[in-house]
Amino acid sequence: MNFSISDENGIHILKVNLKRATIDYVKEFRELLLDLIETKNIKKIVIDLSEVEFVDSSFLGAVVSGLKKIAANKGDIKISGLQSPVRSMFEITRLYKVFEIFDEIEDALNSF
Amino acid sequence: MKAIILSPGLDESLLPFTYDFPKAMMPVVNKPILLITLLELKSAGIRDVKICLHHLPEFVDNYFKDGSNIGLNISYSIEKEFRGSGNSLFRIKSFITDSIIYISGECISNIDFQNLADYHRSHNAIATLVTSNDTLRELNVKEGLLDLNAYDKIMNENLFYDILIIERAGVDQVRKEDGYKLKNHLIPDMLQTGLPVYVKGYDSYYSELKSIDEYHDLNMKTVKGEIIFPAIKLNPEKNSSGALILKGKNSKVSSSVKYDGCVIIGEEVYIDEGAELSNCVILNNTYIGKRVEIKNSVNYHQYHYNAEIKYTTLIEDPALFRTYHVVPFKVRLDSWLINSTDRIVSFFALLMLMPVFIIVALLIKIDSKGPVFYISKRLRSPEISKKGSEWYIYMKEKPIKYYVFRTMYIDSDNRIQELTNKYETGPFRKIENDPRVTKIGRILRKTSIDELPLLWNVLKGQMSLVGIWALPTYEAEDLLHKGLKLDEGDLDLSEVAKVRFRGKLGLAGLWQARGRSDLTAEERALHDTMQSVMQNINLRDEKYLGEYSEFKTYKGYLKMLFETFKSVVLRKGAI
Repeated sequence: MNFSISDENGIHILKVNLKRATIDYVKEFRELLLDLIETKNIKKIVIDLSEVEFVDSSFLGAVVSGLKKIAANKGDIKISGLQSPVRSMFEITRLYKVFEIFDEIEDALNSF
Repeated sequence: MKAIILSPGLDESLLPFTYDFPKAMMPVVNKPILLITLLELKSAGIRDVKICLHHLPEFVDNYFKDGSNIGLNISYSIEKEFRGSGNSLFRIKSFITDSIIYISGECISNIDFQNLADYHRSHNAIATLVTSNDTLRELNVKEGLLDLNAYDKIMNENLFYDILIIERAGVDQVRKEDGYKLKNHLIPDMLQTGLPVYVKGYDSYYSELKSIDEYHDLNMKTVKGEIIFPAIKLNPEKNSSGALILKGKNSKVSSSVKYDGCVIIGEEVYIDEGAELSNCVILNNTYIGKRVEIKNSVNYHQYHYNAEIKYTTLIEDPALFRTYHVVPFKVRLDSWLINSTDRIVSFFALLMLMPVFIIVALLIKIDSKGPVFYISKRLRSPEISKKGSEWYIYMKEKPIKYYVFRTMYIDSDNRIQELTNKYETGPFRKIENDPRVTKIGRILRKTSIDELPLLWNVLKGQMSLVGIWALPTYEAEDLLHKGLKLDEGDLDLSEVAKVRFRGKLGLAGLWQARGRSDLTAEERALHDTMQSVMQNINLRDEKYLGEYSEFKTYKGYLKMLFETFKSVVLRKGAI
């Protein structure tokens, strides 16, 4: 499975089980995220990227689009577990000023 | 014991030198402040360090990476907003297992952390604060167990150092409130509940570097050996006239340069013939011109701070002070190849496309009233700059005129406002079945033929084949000021979008190659940002962005060109 979802006391953890989160998986990811936000009306999501070694701008774009949708519903998406090259992407594109980022899932869950 | 370094990067006391990088990375005797602190922590036997960052985190992250090159295990907490030291700790609670030493990344000291840790442990303290022995004497406070009265005395004068040790049990009391600070809130809370908080005095050096004078002074004294940081070794060179010179990596100094007193030359500095240097600091990547005299000062690119007259000036003569970079041969070669390919490809493409252009021109004329070309005003290479806390677009020159094939009925620009009200438009928002577009225009847009005359701008060297799409001026301004916000409370991406303005303009790029107008506005903005990032990363940081680093090279340029070409031919959405 490329993605897995678990529920931790009402907070949904969307884990990306890909080494390379790229344009090839954007469609699947976008549909999954939209299903959570729009159909299931979930307001608290943590995206766990701890397995991901590389993320491309298409995938990041999809995450941002998700945040835009959930923010309109007064919800939030938090990011957890960034490996060095992925963290660099969040830093240098200034996406760290858009998402709240945590090293550990536990800290991300506590922040809601 | 683990360490937490808090370095939000918002301290502006060393401006203008810290415009380009956070204060924690300001070099003292050619070593970033943060490096000195980290090496001292290492000497005290600490291995695990968490650095909390907010402004310009990439400078710290990229310099230290995982810490393995200095024998530490470093991880980072990148904060969206800086909301006080309490909040910074709350965010990383799972990192804090037992006791931690907490230090501000913007202060520098040679306090023996091992000694401090031993003191804390031997007293079974929940927290240990630090100040100078002078403060303790002057305020008549005894080193040891602290009470509220003594705490107030020191706190009112703001004389506690930004260094403290705290137990996990203490961290558990941190309240999740905005602006909750350790020294200001947590410590008095603990004192009120009767927990054992200690204060330890030191005679060591400690400074928060609140002025450039203090910074200059620290540099001079450290080179002279009057202030010693045991964790770092300095070997200043002594010349025949007794001057002490400290020289960084890859610096080039002409043999006719004269020295006096202490001179600190950073990395990749170039000092030209006949310059006279006395008691000064020259920061990294600075060029000092011929016969320039520098005394008692700090110098960086075009900024000069004189410690005697206490004044920072912007040097007006760029011939004397400018940015200096040692550009590796491979980078120069790649840039030459890219430039040549731009000119050659655009020349032949224009030549070959001439018949197509003539047919298109005729079709436009037949289809609707108006000229063949539409003159689009777009920013040249827009730069963004910071004035105070405000960002603004800084245009070196007037916008360039771009000739593109007209795809709309004449007067379309005047109706843009009307449309904005009717549809949700804005930067990167394309309207489906836009009523302004002519019949032939629809085909031209679908095939991207309308933009092909831009090859002329490539031939003229105004843009490259690969780069960031040149936005019309009104869209660029909108993007910079509003992000992609449609209404209040909408997600603000202006910080992300700003990055795009640093990039070189071009025809082909990430978003054209990866989906074009099928993408959401956010996705397009991000592709542009990424494109700009790729063009701007320093080659020394090659590994920093993983495989994205490749795009700066000639190989990456060709790859992007090919990808875009493929995408346009397969007609995945129109531009």
